[in-house]
Amino acid sequence: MDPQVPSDGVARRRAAVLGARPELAAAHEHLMSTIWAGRVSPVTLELCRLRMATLLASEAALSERSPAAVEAGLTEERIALLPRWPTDPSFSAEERTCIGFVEQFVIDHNQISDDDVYALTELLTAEGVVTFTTALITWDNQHRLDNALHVADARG
Amino acid sequence: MSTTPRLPSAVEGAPANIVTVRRNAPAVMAAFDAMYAVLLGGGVAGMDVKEAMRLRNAMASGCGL
Repeated sequence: MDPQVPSDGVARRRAAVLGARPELAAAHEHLMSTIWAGRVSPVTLELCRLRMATLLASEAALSERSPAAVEAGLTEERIALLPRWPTDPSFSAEERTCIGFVEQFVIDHNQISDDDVYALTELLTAEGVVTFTTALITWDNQHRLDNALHVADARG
Repeated sequence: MSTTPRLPSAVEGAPANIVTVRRNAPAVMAAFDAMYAVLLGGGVAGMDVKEAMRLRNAMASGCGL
């Protein structure tokens, strides 16, 4: 099952789109479930997913919340602070490092440095980095697909 | 673009490469590979079209692999 809980409109539209390839949709959901059950904190993952959704203007993704992250304590108040992650004291070192990595990934992935990966590895371990970067490429695809195929309500 | 891995090999005695680095997270990579196999193996687009799309994507993103 997809770890995000979409609003009704998003769920309906995405199901209609992915219904064209149900086997692929199931494999995609399994991948996402495996990522959310993996080594990286669901709160960190959700903050990164939402930051990427903001940068890519994915209205569909911004309307969703990860139940695992909410259960782990992520609140709407903290999500509202996300644009101020570099300076707001509520963000941990792990969250800052991961969100910064997301921004570099979206803006210009070719400029990700050895130091960026080293910092990430120190916090997440190699297993966590493989999990995290796989999450990034999967969300990147999902956000762009949602935008291109008008999954969000506002696209009507 | 460099293709030198920035993560260690998860296979003792084996050099770091795309296969051995991915094994640091075997469950995630198994799920990814399963999805990729479905993506490549079915649907209405032929393998020639999919390979052309993959290569164009690699060019646009600067992937040396």
